[in-house]
Amino acid sequence: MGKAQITKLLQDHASGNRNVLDELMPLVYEKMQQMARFRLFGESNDHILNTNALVHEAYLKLVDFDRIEWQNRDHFFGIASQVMRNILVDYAEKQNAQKRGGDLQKVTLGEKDGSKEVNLIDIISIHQALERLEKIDERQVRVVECRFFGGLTIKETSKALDISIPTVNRDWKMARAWLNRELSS
Amino acid sequence: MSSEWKIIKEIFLEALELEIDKRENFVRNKCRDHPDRADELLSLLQAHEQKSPLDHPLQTVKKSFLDDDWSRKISDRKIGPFKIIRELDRGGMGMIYLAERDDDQFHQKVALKLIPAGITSENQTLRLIAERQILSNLNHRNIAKLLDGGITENGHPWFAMEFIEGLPIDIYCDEKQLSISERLKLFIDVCSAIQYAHQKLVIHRDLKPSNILVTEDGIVKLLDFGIAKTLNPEDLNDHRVPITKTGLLPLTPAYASPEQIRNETITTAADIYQLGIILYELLTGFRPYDITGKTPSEIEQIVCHTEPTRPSTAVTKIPADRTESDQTAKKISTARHTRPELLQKHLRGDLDTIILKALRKDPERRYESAEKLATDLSNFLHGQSVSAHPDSLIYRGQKFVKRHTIGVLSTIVMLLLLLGYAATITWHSQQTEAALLQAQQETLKAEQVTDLLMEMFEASDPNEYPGLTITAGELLERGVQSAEQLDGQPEIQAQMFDLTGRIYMNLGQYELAESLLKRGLDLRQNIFQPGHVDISKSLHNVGVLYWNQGHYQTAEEYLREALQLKMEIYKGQSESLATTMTSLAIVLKELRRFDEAEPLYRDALEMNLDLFGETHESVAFSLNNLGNYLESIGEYRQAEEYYLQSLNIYRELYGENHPMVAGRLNNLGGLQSVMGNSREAMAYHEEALRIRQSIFDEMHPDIAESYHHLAEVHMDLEYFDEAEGYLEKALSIRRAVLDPAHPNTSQTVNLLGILKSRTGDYEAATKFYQESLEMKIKQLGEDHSEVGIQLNNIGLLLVRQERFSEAMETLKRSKEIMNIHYDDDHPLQTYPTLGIGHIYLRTDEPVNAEHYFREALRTQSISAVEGSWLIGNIKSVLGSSLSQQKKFEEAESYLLEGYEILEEHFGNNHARTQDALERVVELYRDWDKPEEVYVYQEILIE
Repeated sequence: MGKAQITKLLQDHASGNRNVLDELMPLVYEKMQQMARFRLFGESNDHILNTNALVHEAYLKLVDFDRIEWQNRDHFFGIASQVMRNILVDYAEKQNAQKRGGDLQKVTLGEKDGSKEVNLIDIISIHQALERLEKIDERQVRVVECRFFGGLTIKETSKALDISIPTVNRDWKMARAWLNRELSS
Repeated sequence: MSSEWKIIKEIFLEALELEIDKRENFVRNKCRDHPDRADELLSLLQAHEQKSPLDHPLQTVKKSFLDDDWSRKISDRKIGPFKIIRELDRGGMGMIYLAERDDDQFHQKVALKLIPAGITSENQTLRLIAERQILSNLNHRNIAKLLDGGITENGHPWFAMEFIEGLPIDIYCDEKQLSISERLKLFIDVCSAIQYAHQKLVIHRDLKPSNILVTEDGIVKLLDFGIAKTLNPEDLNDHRVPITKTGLLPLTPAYASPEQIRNETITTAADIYQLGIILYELLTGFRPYDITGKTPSEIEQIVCHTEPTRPSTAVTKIPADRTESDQTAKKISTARHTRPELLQKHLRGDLDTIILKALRKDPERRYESAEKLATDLSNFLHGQSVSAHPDSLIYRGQKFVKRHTIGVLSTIVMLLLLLGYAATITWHSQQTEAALLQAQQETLKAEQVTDLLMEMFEASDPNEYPGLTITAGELLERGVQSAEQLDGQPEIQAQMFDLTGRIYMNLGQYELAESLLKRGLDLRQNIFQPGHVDISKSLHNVGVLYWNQGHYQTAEEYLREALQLKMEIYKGQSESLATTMTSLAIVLKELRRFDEAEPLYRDALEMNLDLFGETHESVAFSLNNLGNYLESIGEYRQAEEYYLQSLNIYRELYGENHPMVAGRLNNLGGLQSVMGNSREAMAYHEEALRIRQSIFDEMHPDIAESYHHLAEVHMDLEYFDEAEGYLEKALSIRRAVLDPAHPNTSQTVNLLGILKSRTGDYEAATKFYQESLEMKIKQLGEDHSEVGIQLNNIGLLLVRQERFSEAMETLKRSKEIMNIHYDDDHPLQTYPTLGIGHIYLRTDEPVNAEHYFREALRTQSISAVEGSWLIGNIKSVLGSSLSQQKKFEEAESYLLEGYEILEEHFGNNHARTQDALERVVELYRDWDKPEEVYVYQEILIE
């Protein structure tokens, strides 16, 4: 049932009904969270979770892709990236509340051997900075979600958000500088 | 976004283009009067240079981060008096857990539905409450019972139902190898549950085998009222009705009714429809429609417009692999405790009729209630007569055959006459349809002639009588011979000449047709008073013949005469009058006299609507013609609408496998091609070919037409080998059955030229183009628009060969001819304009090139859909001409848009997309943007 519904909502979304996001996001959230749990605690029992892989896997599992236009796939990636942000932030906030300043959990970024790590606080501060940026330039926030939380390429981002590649590039440069400054202050 | 932010963004991005040490001066300079803005910018520029946690996507997350207790502890949770054991199912509407009553007195297992902690929407909560409310009103042995309900300490509503240990009904039936009768008995129980729910004003809306379980004791239990609707909102007491906006309801495509797919009002008839699908599946092992792998719009088309295969036919479905299908048939019948032949026999007749009645597209024509459906099934089980009648069309067909039981031959003759007329020939096939319509009318009137034909065949030597293997040609020859001997009966002789002449015309044998039709006309003019209705018909037919041959002026003369006679004869309205009006309109359209043509088309449509109402073949015919006209003047969207309306009427009248349906699909495919939607076009043409091959013999002109168009779309998609194969087939049929200079033959020759040109064989291309040009000049004259199109192609070929001055001359001549026939906004103007632009681009005159490309973009944008590949192509070359003029920013947006459209349409590996990418890379090279060059170079290499 979830699959048909998500597919249907995605079609409605693609045909211009942006209101369905309110319905779509919680569904995708729930499903992706389940998938993340399954990856980490289910049979496969991986020790790390690849966020970009999760976004793609979500598409395969949640959307009846035989029944949907190709461009809807790109839109889905955009939505899934946003959901990924919510999932990680929710976890971070929950963990943070539990730890109450104790040992901070580490989230591995980028390269495999954990050479670059960011802590919970970083995730939360990026999220809070994004909330401020959203008031100034919403589209830039979507670009950051796609690139950072969803791990989408520039091209995928451009398709996910229906904007041109140069626009993605420009938004990304601007948002990155702005966030950098916010995070360092 | 504030204007301040915009300014900051603009300056920031501009500054980034500069060397680092020049940025500060630049910013200070730009913000002389806004020191705050300058500071803001400088801090951003500084931040730009720093490393950022955002530089690497958040690729991996450690397990420990996501570890939470909720998923592990759910199994211990207590909800009301129940303890959760494990998860049973999950869906958008909530989770279902197996749970157990916790006290010592009971050991009852229940299915507990709950919206889990975490994210919930208000709508989900409301739906869960609504479902609980609905269930509390339903108390039936075949519906899973509500046992308890409440709200968790976190405020989430939940309820517990009877836990059913059972199998979905389809699996149950197969595992137990239930016979057809046993299956029907179970199904009748399902009907009774639905009937009960309907009486309680509840529509289930999501009936499917997985929601109907059967327990080990064979008790049916209906589940999941998660999207059920109650007809009386008061039943929900004080609870608010969940907001089920249309379009948001989940549905299972394989079981959705036409009204659900279309988002129309849902009544209990939707449940009847779903019952029909389930019954179909239980009895045949197949679903009535195969929708696997189909897009939503294809599904809508199938569910709302395609008639389902009769169940008795479905069980003998023979896919490509025969042995495999034998095994399938065997497997299915074994599961039903019978043999394939017996199963088919069992289903044929009443069961077919009952199931098809439940599956009717129009909700009002289905069974009024589940009870009525159950009654028919139970009557069937007891050998009593059932209430359902076959669909009226079939019914009428049967009666028709019964009235004509003189012998096999009469059926053949009737079929021949009907099919002969039904045969459509030319690619703008409306005209022959006029003949068909008339023929059908006259076939009924002219039973005398038919009987005569029959007698003659029967009188011939019985040893020679070729029975079922008689060919159309043999019958026709005999018909003509017999007509020759009818000297004493000139009226009937004329009728015979007319009939056989029209059949030859439909077979594309125009010379024979011409002599017969003209003899018919002469005879009639001799024996009747001027102004006789038969004379008007002969005039019409001769006019149609000349139209078919492309002699438009002569055709106009005959048709005008026919029209004038008919107006005197019929005075007000008549179908025959409308037909001639349409024929004349078509000829005028061919002569590019649009102002005279359009009112005739519209009047004919009005007349047919007044005479027959909306669902009638004459209306379908007029709609199609009007669509065709609109297509030829470039009003593509309107054209599509009319074509679809026409198609739907024909489908409704004749079912799927009919030349008329194929003809409309063909027109729709042609239109999609012109609009640049090659994939859609291909689907239409393939479907048309399939229908035509199932009706006609391989050498039929309609089949040639399908091949021709399939070649066209395959070429658009660069499947050149396939395209060439189709073209060879089309050409060999057309050369064999059409006049040597027939417009359709020259079209195919021209297309072969295009193919050769695109695959680089310029010599062969030149040869085909010249041949086609000669044919067209001979047939149509030097200034015909077809000649203009041909010259355009020759011009483009010369561009490819870099013979620019010859090319320019040819294209300008082509444009001259186009200007005679079309106004400046016509999409056909795009082609020579685009060609001239290309010459300028290639000869380093970008300013001129830009001018022509913009003009091409304008004419094409007027009617093409957004995202048409041709538009993508034009944007890309336009970008190139701008880039050559160093107008980089504008060039960039056109080039990227163009590339994206082409990529969307053809993928990255298509030559057109690759060309567009190369143009993008070139732009960034000239613009000195190595980063972007790198990005696109990478895609190019991909």
